[in-house]
Amino acid sequence: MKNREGRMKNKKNSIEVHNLSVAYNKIPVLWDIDFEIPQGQIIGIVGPNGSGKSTLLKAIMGLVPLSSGYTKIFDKDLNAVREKVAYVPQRESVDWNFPATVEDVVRMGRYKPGKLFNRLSVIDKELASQAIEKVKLTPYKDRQIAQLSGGQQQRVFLARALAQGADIYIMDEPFVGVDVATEKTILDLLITMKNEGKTVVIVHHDLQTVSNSFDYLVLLNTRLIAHGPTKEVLTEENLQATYGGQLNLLTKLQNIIKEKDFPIREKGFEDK
Amino acid sequence: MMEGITYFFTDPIAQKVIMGIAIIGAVSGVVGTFSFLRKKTLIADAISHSVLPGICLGFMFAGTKDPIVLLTGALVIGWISVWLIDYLSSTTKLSADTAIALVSTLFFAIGSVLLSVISKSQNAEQTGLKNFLFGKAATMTTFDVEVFTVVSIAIFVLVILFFKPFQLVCFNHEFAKSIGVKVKRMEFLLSTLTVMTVAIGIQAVGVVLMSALLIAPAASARYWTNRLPIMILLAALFGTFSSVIGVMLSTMKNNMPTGPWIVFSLFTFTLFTLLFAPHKGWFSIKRRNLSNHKKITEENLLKTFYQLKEEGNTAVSFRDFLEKRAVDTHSLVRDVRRMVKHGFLVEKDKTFSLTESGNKEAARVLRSHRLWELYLTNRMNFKNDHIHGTAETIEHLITPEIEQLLLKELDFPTSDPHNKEIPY
Repeated sequence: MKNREGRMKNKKNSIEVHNLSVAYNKIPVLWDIDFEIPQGQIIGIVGPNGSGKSTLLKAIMGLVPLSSGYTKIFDKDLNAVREKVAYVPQRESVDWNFPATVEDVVRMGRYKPGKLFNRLSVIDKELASQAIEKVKLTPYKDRQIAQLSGGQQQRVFLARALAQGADIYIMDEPFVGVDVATEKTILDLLITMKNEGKTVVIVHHDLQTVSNSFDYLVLLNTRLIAHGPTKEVLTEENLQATYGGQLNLLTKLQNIIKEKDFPIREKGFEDK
Repeated sequence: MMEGITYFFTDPIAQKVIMGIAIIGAVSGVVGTFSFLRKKTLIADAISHSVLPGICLGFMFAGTKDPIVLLTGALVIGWISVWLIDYLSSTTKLSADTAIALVSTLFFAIGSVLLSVISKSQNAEQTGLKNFLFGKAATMTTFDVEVFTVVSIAIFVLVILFFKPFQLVCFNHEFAKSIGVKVKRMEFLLSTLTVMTVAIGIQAVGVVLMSALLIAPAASARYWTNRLPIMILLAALFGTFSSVIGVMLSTMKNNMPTGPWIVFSLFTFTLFTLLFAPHKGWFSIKRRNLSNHKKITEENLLKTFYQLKEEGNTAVSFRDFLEKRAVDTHSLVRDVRRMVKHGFLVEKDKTFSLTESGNKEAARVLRSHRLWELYLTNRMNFKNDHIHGTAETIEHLITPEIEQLLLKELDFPTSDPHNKEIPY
């Protein structure tokens, strides 16, 4: 354990995003995004609705095709470090009527692609139970997941990620539609995780709530507005640029791209 | 009738047919569960219509009804239909359901044309090919059943082996992809299993009705359990029973096509489920409504007695009650008698008054009502003339736990917004 942490501290960045452009439904939603984020901190990716935050996470997780650029985690391709990465999708992205209990879903965090045919070991089950305990859902572990409140469902997803035992946690809007108790549980957990040397990346849509828990911010509105330690980035000017609405001209251009079915990058153009 | 049933378990040919249909029903239930959970039931329907040309081409190629050739034909054409639906809905503006409707009808039309071409040919083997439309279990030969059994076992083994990735892909494919599951490959495998199931099922059930055997058992099973492994087992059982019963019925009715009878028996199972399933079934919902209604009536009754007592009336006649609260006289008499029986009221000279336990219960309801009114005005900024209606309902819902929270939050108040005393 010590050895691995020691090695990781030598490296500077947890995630590197280089010249990243992504189109969603043929409309470019991310333009040439370029940044690095540090390790061992709580990092907020913040921007208004439709600013491309979730798409950015999906691009990092290899879930959407990229129009240009690349992303790296711990200086490597995602495939090389997958076991160190836990992804928490948006709560609304699944049908909670699925026949599964809290425990069933959290145990999915212990599934490993190389060992999908094996049964879960006693250790796997124990780790899942511990994760459920950490999000305070032990009394609910045998409940069907549709019978939970929104906040409890969010905690189920968090527990599944915890069960993965990763080094970096990438979460898509974990604070949407949760009760105050869940918000506090999650925030406390995030701080514990940070103290254990984990990196936590959170997509969040407004700066009114929970933002003072972020050590580092990436401000996004289709383009990168700013990134850096929260204190340096939180300026009036940056907030105006992030939340002051879309750029008119950019929106017009996006529509032309969609209408003409135009590519974002010319063929054969290599990003340096 | 009884001879009919014994016949199925003694006659070797009938036994073979029953055994074949039982295993087909089980496989359909298992594979259909995954289609159901992926919300791909329409695709299952499309596949079953689309395999008809595959069967015909297989027959034209081999010249006999060799199950292996027919299965291969069905598999290939079934796969092409899945691919085409996927291609059309992802690269054109056609929505998925439009693409499904177009492809399945086109393939079925091609199949029908091929079927009439074959029936005009001189091949003596071709009789019975039309049975693939509505199914005829009795036409299954021993070799057919053997082939179907082998394919079924292969499907069961694959489902057991791939249970975890299938579960992940059905529940949360983005998460599946994030941990490195090859989602596209798993979806391909699931579609292939569906095509294989359709291919072995159509001889007995028919291309037109095969999708019912995939979908109905899963849809019913979902009502009875919240666990995936149990749901799969139940779907397999429902599939097996419906198919076996369907085949028996069709054979007793002058050898009619099996498909429709299987569908009837599937539908009976589904109907039974919709009526009797725990929690979500019709009777369960009805029972819940009734018990809610009863609770409301009883609590209102006691509350009214309490209010009359507050006004000084401790020996309440039916007339007194009706003046305070207009309810149906007949039900009032019945409800009051019941409350007497439960020990909440006592009768004396045709008047009624609250017993000690009745008094306690009535005070609790009124306390809930008045606490909630106070909560509405203090915390939710309701105006005084708007709070009564809501509180009338909420008073019946407030649990001891909520009551404690209310008391704490409102700091143990003594009177409600209308300046009435809150009873403790």
